[in-house]
Amino acid sequence: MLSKFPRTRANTTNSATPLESQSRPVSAHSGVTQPPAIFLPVAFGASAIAVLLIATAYAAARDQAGWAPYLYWTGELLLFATATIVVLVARKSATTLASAVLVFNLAQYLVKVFYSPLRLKFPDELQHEQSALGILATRHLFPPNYSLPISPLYPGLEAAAVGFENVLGLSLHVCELLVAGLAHTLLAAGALVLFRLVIKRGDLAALGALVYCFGSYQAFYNSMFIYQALALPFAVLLFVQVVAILQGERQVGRLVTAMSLSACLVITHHVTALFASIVLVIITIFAAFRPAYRASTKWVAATALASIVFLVAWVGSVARETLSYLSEPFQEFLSSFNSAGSNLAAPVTGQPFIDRVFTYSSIAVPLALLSFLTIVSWRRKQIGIATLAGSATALQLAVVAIRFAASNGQELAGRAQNFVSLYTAIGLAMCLGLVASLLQRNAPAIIIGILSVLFVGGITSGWPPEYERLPGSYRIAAFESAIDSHAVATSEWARNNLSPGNRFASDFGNLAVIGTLGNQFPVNSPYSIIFYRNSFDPRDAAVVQRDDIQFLLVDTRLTEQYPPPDSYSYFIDDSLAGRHQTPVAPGALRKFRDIGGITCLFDDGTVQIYGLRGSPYADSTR
Amino acid sequence: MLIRPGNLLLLLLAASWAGLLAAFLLQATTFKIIFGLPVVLVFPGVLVLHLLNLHPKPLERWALVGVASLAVLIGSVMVSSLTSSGITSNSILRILASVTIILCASNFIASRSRSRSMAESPTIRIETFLRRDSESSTHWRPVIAWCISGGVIAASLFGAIWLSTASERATSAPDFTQLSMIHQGDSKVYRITVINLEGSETKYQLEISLPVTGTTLQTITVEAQHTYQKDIVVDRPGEIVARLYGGSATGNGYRQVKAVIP
Repeated sequence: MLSKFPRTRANTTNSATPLESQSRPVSAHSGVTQPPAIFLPVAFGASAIAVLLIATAYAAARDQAGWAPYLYWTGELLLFATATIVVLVARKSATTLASAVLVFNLAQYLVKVFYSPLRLKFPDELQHEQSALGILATRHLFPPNYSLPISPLYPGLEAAAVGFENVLGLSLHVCELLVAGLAHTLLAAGALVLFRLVIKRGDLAALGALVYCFGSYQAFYNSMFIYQALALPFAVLLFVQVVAILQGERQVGRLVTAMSLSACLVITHHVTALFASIVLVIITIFAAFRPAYRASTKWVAATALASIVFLVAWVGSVARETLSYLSEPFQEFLSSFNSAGSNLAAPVTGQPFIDRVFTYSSIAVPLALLSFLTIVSWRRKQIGIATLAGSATALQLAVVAIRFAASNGQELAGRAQNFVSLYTAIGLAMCLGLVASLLQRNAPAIIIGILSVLFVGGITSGWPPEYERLPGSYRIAAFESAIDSHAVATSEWARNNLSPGNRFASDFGNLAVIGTLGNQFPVNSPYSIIFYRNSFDPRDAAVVQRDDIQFLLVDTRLTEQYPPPDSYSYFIDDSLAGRHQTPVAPGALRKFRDIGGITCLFDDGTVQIYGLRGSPYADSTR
Repeated sequence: MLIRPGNLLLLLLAASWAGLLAAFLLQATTFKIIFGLPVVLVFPGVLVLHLLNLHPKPLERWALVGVASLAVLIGSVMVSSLTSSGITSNSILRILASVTIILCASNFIASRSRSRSMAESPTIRIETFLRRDSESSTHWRPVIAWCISGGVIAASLFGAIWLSTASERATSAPDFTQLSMIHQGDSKVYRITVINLEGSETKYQLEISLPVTGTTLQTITVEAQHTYQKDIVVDRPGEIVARLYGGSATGNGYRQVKAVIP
């Protein structure tokens, strides 16, 4: 695709520029074209040992062992070293390169599984598990989902899990892990195939695939049972078909495959489908203006048109709520730029110093490398590469701007990075090739150094946040660490004993679970003040009536723990966010027992559920 | 590509389906997994790729087999959702089988029309999916290395699975008691439920205060993971308060539920 991109040549004695004479090996041993026969088995064994070390670290962390983080990082660095060394050494062997990338991905996925092997524990996953449970209960698609109403309207992910459950007879949890694992691995395979098509050099393509896999959202977020995780491999393989068509493979089979992948994408995830449609339109315009690809324009245009038609048809007929669902965060995102600069600390809130260093480095290093590639290739009049590198730099800058300027910049930037990384990884791989050609003897060390910054930075800037990186004890109002036996058992009780869809108010952690596993309606509005006052107040009654809150789920651990160090909040839209001097006063929670008219339906000693119907909160005249 | 009766792929396909159906009849989950995985994850994708006459390089080939198979499974579930019986094992299997038969037939027809314009008619062989780009070696060292590596990998993964599940089970197991009281529909009945999640048989004291009637106290013993239920009929306005003493420690020494009868 990049016709001027340097290809590996047997002789490098011509007058080609350094960028074009990248036949110099990236590896440490210039004369070795094949690694020793025992190299790959040793590498695979080392990867498995790395996974064992990390699983041991997780087990130790659950027992509050202080040495757990050291073991964790030892395992992660061993995993990184194994994959990187294999790619750098075995640059001639396509099978070995592919194996290194896929084994790394598989190990990365297993690390996520061992974080919580017995059940899904990430709030986003629980939302999709709720859709799957609804499909199993109703035996039809599009069941109600109070926590994420849009999820059932894009049923690809849950349909796959339910299909496995029905055919294989496995539990839903195992089927969810199977689907997520397949998606994660197919994404890595698809990315490697795409990079091979574009870059034309196997070793650089493998490096690019590793760079993509080191991204902040790849390790955990793209390993979760969420609809984007399954949509991404559909999108990447769709791009593979289009690039193949551009390169001359104008077969009906490619076209039909591309259209089929578009259809699968549209029923799986809205944003990824929209992103793919936009990319296809851009590729169509690119092909129309480039003589080398003009012959393929109609084929690519047909794919783009099909993608748009499928998306419009699905949104128009089945998923009409998509427009309102996406417009709300989009407007919030636009308005947050009006208060630009207010979130300069947001990307690294609550992180230790060393984590912040790597987080900022993982942002700065790709920018620096892409800028360097842009300048060098521009000077050498390699317009194609300069355009790619320049546009990748611009995209990366846009992601950085989102991270710093938007109010929920960290999450938005991470999600955007998922898509942008497919493009910037190509540029970074080419830059690493340039570094290898310029530095020669010292190249492997420099490249390993760069990749290690990206790898560690991907962990420190990714998910879970630092205080949840290893599983540990319960933390009120957190993400994964707020999902413990009390939260799960209470939600299961609610699912079995209450009608579905009752409107619940609670702290952030319990709300995520009661709204998913409990099959109740989580109210996401400003009501925290109800939990802070020591006695009944008519203003709280106004809040309850405004939001039609029927039940309060009260966790007494609000009186024992401070809020998490990244959000500083107990509740969504906490009125005291960042200003909590002490945990919640015990009297503020005890009042619900004493106020006349409030029923207490449930008490497990730590969590209580109060019904507000018939109480002064629900009826101001009482 | 010509599909011939003796073709290995067709044999494997037929054998897998036969094994899966037998597993369903015998309710053998292990065999469902063994035969179900290739039926669901491999064969649909292989057939689709052959039908489309796509022969990409191995990595892309297997990636497309995976996504195509997933797409067929998702489509089968979506179609079964439209049937009167809904999404069940039977409906999904019927649709999957129908799709597989249609794909096989389409491949047969397509391969015949392709073979008329080709001098040679290669068969669909499983080897086409196993093209290797590395030179084979007859040395013993790689074999021994792979055997040792396989052992290390198996031991590491089993160790990781055992450690993770055992430690999470130990730390996430509930160790408390749930007390609840639910009004049964529009009746005058209130159901008090005690669920013992303490992990062992536990003795409790259950104190119930009713309007006018007063307070009663009874001792109950509930086995681990078992439930005790008591229905109370109340026909006078006031409050029902149930307190449970015993079980794991609580902030105020008991668990309490309350209902307000208007």
